[in-house]
Amino acid sequence: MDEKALDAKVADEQAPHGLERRFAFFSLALLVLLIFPVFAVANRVQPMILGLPFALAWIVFWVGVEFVGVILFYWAEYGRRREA
Amino acid sequence: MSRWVLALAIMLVYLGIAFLFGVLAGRGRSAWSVSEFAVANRELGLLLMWFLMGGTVFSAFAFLGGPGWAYSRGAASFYILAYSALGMLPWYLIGPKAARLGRQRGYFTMGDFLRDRYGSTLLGVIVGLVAVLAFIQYLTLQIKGMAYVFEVLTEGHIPFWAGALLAYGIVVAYVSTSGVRGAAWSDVFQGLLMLLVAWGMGLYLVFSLHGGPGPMFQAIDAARPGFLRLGGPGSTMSPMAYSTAILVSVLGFIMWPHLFMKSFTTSEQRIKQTVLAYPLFAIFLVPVLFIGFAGVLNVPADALENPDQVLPYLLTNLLPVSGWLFGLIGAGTLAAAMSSADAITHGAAVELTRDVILPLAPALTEREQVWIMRAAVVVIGAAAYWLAIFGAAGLVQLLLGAYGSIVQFAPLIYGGLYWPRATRAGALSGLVAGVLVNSYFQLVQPVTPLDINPGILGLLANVALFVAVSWVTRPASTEVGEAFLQA
Repeated sequence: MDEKALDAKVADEQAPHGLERRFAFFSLALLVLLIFPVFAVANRVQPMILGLPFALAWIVFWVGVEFVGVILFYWAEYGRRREA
Repeated sequence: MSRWVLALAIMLVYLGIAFLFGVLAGRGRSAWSVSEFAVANRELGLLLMWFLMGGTVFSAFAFLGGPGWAYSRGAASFYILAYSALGMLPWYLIGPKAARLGRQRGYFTMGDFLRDRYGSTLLGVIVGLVAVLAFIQYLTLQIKGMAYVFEVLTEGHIPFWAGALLAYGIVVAYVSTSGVRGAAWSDVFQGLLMLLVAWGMGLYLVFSLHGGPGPMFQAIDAARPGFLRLGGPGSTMSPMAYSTAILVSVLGFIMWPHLFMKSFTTSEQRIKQTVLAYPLFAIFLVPVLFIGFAGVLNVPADALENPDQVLPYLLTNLLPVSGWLFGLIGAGTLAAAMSSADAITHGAAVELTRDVILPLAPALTEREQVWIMRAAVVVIGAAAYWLAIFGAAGLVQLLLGAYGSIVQFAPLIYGGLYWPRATRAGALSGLVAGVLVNSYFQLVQPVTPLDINPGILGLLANVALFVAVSWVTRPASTEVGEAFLQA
């Protein structure tokens, strides 16, 4: 492979900057949801959800959202390409 | 067969399998390549990466410290879930960048990366030294965990020093022979075992002692109002301390050099897949906290010398007496401790060789470097073992200071990647200020303003100096900074 083709391949491997910025936003939003002051709305025991105190259920719920969210980001970037 | 003999036999079988996995992993690989030993030729697959990262992060802390927090501090222990869920997210962005730079410019360690970016050998050496000291502290915790498990579960028949020597000796053997690949393969086995045991234990304890998590948390809330909330009467942690502890962990997580250098072991796509699968590990921690919560109403506070003993106490006092159970739980806890110890011992040896020894003796051949890395595994292992068993009061402060200082690498890494204007003088002064401020609040003055985490106070000083000094000095070459920004 000559140098130009290599450069093109490297560029192709990089995520579009828009996606990176959105991922940073997404991460920041999750962080904000799990620390004070926002976490104050969840800082209570009742109502319990699935046997967990509300604060714990709140954390588990957002971890679930995180899991789905990261999958979507990954899919947006690699979904249409073949496995590398 | 008496209970402790059966327990010991099960733990020995576990140790044998972990050893085989680790040693066989390196077979048929080039024995004298730095790239193979340090980063497995940058070719680790998803399963290996996930367990390598997960096993590394969930250490003896998961079985001893995590339940200890839940037992003694209640809602404060939720911070463990929050930071483990969030800690890996920044790697999705900086990992691929670091991986591309590593491939183009030939990095194996964090020191390689920083030395090249800022054009400073001194910076690499400082980072290498802080990292090695922090690693030794981390290792002594794991080794104590292993020894403790052996001692308790064999009812004192295997003394503290012998249990540690046996378990950690196996780690040193497979890491020095197989490098990172050995750590990764044994982590797959250790990770699976650790997860199974954690879930089994946590759910079993909650259901047998309370009939389920719902009744358990209701009972705790009734008996200890405020214990399951942050701030206010009955709580053990203020909102500020909780939030800044999460923040410092999220920023510092991927700054641990043994995690950061895993960017160089694999492809960009694999890094993203690893991050993607990672939140599951945080969910796996929920039953670990259950273990501690199950003890809140069943273990009187004066029964324990230290909250970390809540799991062994529940095990020896409240569960049916069974050698099988003892053996399995022992093996699970050993797995957690050993899967962290292997990656850390490996990271420390590579870091010491590449970032501290190589700059002082640049003429070393590749073969000599690999020899030194293998020897360093043994030397660092011996040092950590000696400290764990015999201790050394003066050193402990130094090690703790280094341990808390890891997050201070964050401005250098982020600045290096995203801010071409960052200079060597800025990086050095920021790092030194951050380490000093953090150590002062950690070791000398434990009461911090507004209850803010000492790591965050260090970061404030660090970033302020990093930015200010970078502005008044000139970067040695704008070319390198641009290359890092574009990577």
